[in-house]
Amino acid sequence: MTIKEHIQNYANVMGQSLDGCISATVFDVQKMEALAYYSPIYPKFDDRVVAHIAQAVQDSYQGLSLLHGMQGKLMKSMEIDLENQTHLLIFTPHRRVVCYIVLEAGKSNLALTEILHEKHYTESLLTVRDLVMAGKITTADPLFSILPMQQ
Amino acid sequence: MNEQELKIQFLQEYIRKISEDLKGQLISISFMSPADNSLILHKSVNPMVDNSQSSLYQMSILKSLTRAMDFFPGVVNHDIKLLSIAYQGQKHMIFFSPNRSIVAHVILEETANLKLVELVLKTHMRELLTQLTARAGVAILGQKIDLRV
Repeated sequence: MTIKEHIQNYANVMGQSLDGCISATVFDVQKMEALAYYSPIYPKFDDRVVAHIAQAVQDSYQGLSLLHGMQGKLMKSMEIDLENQTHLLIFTPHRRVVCYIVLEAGKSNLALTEILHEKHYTESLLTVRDLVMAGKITTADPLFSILPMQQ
Repeated sequence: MNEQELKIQFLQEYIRKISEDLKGQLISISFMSPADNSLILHKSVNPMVDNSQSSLYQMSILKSLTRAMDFFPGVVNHDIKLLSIAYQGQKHMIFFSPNRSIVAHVILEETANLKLVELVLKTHMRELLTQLTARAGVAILGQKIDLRV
């Protein structure tokens, strides 16, 4: 399996575990492209969504320098409340990879979402790290450099 | 007193009230005009801290995210009700007024409970508007600067 397939597994598990989940996406902020996408409702993915969200995230990173006493600090999460949906961006220790979960507004449990993310994301990374160490995934995999293997 | 002065007076009173209730949690609050990207009012608990430039930046991020929602399927209303950002050490709340004439940016300590803060913001807004609209001649102001989140 490639790293991309493992990231896709994470998106699948998140999407299937969460009540009211509309979609689960993992994207690369720098390249502004999705690494994985799962939705039980909308099978077709629109690249423009990630392009715009990634741009806003890049702007947020830059904006941190304007905040008094916040230089060098990390963003943990961003929640966007709409009338019928809640969009949750969860930032990983490696700033380049962001998990983007969209939930139905009435059904969303953000605390549970963050706990599940922590569990499944960490498991995915550990699996990938183990596979790399076992030589089953090569460090030449294009996604190897963007994942926080030292977690 | 012209409309702008009334608006600022109203926002100052609003800040005074929420500062009391959010003592120990509030770091700063800013009100901005999205029409011309200008700052209307900024108040920091610590007078040495000026987060007004950051507030203007956050307003542009709110606008960008609102545009992004145009492309997401199934969104009934693309207007963002509330944007909450959790940083290491701080929490931020950014929102439009219902008529979208004002953007508010509230910076809080990391320990703040955002649901409670939201309740405080709504309650004081409702109370102030009720008082204001009870006075002659300010009904229009009440509608114009309704900041319910």
